[in-house]
Amino acid sequence: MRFGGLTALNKVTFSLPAGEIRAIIGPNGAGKSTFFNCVTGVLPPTGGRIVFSGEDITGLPPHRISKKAIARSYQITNILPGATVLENVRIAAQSRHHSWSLFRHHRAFGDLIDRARAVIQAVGLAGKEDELAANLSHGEQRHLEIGIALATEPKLLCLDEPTAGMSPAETQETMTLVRRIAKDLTILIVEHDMQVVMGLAQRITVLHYGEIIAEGPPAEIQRNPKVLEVYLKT
Amino acid sequence: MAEQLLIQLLIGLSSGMILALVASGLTLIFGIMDVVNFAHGELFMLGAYMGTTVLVTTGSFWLALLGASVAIALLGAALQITTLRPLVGRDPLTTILATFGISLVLQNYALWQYGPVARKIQEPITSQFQFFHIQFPWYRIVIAILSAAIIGALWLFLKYGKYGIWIRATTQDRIMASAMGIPVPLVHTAVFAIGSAMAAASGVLFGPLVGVNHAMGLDWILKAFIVVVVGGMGNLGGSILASLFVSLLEAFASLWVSPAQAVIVSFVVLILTLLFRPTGLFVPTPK
Amino acid sequence: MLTVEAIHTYYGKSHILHGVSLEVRPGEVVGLLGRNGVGKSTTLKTIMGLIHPTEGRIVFEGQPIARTAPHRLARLGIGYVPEDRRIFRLLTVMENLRTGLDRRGVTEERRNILLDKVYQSFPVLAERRYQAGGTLSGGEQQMLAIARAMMLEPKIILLDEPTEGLMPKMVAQIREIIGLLHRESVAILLVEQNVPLTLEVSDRIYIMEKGVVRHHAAAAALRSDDSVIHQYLGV
Repeated sequence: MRFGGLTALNKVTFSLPAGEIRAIIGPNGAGKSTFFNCVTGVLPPTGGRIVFSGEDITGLPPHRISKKAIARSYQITNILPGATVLENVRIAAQSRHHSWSLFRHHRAFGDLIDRARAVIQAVGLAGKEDELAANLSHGEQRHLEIGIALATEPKLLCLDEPTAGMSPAETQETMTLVRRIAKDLTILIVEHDMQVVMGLAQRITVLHYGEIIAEGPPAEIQRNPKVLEVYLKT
Repeated sequence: MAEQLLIQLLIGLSSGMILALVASGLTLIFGIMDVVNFAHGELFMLGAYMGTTVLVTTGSFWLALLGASVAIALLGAALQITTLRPLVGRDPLTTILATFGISLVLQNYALWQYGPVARKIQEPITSQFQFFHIQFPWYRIVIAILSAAIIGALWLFLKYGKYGIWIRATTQDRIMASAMGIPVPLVHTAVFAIGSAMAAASGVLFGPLVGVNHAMGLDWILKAFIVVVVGGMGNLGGSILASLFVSLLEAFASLWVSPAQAVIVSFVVLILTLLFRPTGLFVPTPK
Repeated sequence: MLTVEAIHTYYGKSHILHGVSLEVRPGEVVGLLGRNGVGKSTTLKTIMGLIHPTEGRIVFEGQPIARTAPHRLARLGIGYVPEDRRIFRLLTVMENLRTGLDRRGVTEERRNILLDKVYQSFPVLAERRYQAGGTLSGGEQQMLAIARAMMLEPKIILLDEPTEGLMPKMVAQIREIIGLLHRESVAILLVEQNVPLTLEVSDRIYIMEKGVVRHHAAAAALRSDDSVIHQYLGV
């Protein structure tokens, strides 16, 4: 992925099998955000292809990517602060099942509401359905963010630094949440918090200056001398 | 035909310079503190009124020019300290509303203080000169030169003056300017005062050409806003070039249509700029 | 000289600093290490008044400074060199330096002395003194950012990742400049990801993890046993 004269990602070849939880780590400027943005359609790559479930999705814009069942959470939360938790999730769920009928009353979408409630339950916000999103704590807002992504029924869920700005307790809750929802999903996480990474990931990909320098299960990565060198600059 | 073009050239250039004077203050203020000063036209208008008062007391046009500029500079500083400083860091919409509110207050104050009858400022030089087949007033040339001189002085101050560096640094990066010990709130107030003084000076200079009334600001301020956008918001050189550009276009356009219709030119330029080079005609488009 | 006591800082609702405490004594070089995103830069920004902490105290030379405006802190003697350098791109090198020189109580003579000193220590800046800041290379901009802060004649400089993105040759120059500042008894609070450099130049080191200081030791101790470093900075 080239930005003018700057090569942010250099021939990155990456494959993620279904059902895995994969973390992407790397020092500052390694290209993690750029990689994420390419996969989720925010940035079209300048070279190469991205294939998802056998389909070429290279360069598709975000709303089309969403229809392909890839969902993403953002670092700066994307929730609607003036809407309730239930409304936030319901709106996201609607994006998968909308019809163009103008005449159905919104309460007729009973199905949708049940689905939204299930998601709210899954992200641990049951009981806060009618709470305005703006009144939630930071941790709850990030969980709502994950809920919104979940409501679009993705097969691949991309989480961008899900525990940033959280207290240790909230971080633990987030880890529990991710483990709970991981059962039917493939998850890709960018994170800095090593505890979270080591605790959640089944495999880890390490990026450095736009290239993959290591890939493997956590124990292996922890012992990998190249990775240590990059992180400790020794 | 050639002489008509030359006449329009002269008109365009002289109007352009006055517009540049009004627009410079506006763009300076926006560039440094992201404030769209909707009260700028009222400062222009109050400057003209102040000018009439000083003129009546002292009989000197030049004292009126100086006195009005200083008085309005102080008014501007007071306004900034009381209404804009408390709004720093908030949604830009709040400053727009604040300056809009100030403009309403000032307009009505002028109406109350000076009454609805237009006043006159006598221009200091009434002679005219022969330019081709028309009599062209010297005064218009004088205003153009004075405006250029004021803008020139501002430019020199910004480039070489001790506090000019403070202003330029604060415009580029107010956080690092603060980290370097520059008293940013004070710089903001000073720039607002300078912008106000420039508006007031334009008001006094332009006063003799129209009549001094409480709505005189509106027409000019609209053009000034257009020119600030076309020249690149915050870009001093750009707003000067844009002022000349738009005024010349209008002047030439009024050869074919009536001057009232020629005003459309500035709006067309605005729309085209926003469509194709929204950061400003004379500003390189960021990639 | 500088004491930070249990500060909490938020970006909106995001709780970045969960009670950070540290101190810097006169003339010391103190390193602040930690992975990305743990709050090292936020700590410096909070000290410099660019963000206000919601809890905790910051004391500089006996004065509480937690909610003081940055320009007052600069005048009190705290210099700040941010992570992305942030030199004034449209000002010349000379003008960049002057933003720090134009203070009350500095005679013309003193200004010239300071300028000469900077040009001697940073010959590349002397060469480019009339060039616009934006035309300098990354390494040169870093030099300028540090030189500019030095114009304030500060008692302490907050340095945020000065070697990031620099070539090894420039990193060596940064090391020398830190040495120079140390010899002039200017204290330094150095945030870095470059562990070897930090171990080399620091007297004491704090290690942060997710918004708190987790470990604190003399650099000498960490040089001989770096297992702690591996624990908090490795994977």
